[in-house]
Amino acid sequence: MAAGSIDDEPITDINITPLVDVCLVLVIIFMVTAPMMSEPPIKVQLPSAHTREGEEKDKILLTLSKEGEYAVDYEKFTDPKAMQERLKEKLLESYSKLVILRADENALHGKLTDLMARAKDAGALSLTIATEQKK
Amino acid sequence: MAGAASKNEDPITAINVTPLVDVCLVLVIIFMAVAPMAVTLGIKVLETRPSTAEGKASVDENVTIKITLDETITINGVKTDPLTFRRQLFDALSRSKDKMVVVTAEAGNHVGLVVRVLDESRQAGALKLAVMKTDGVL
Repeated sequence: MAAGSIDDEPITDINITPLVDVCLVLVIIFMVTAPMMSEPPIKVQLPSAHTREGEEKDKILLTLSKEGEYAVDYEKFTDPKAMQERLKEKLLESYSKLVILRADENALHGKLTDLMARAKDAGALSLTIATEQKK
Repeated sequence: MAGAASKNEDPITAINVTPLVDVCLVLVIIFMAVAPMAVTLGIKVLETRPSTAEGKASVDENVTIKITLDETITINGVKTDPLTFRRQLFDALSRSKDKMVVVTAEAGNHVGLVVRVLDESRQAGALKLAVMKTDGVL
């Protein structure tokens, strides 16, 4: 009979099982998306454009700041020759040989064409100038 | 009565799929929302050098856009202004056979302006975009 009185009591504890479930899912999501979201070491203001061309291949990010600094994916370079050597190594491992040029909108065009020529010489097959979507 | 009692005593052996489906649907929605952010948008370009393009370029085949240091833009040698630029570009592209645009700019120009011209060209219907390498490396 005592058991009966226990059953009649309302459940006042928080059920933590779904809470833990959701938290674990969140942890997994952040683990998966963190590498996608990470930005290269140099901050650049990308030029804006209406054209939307994006490919989700094994791309290599080549960043050019307005001060003329370079970055190959997440490594920063100041010497263009060292940058080209690293790019060559990366392109050898890359299957699609696609290079995304993240050039600052205030960077000099001469630097960009030099970078494009270096990427081509290093073995890039496809070049894309990264832009921000115009609103 | 006996039947009901025996049913209650049976252990639950089936997997409860409702929370599983819940979590999976949430994952699907999150990845759908995140996917466009992960894609880097841009304009696909070709790299050309004066030596390789010399003698081949013809108005019938492709459109040549030149940008000077004072930001004057010429299309196939004809000067444009911001008002007529789009129409002139569209006309030049409609006359071009392979719908290719070659952009030549000075080393001292800003990337922003060159990208704006490339973007306008793509919007006007260019199929291929090429950027000419400048001689003066800074």
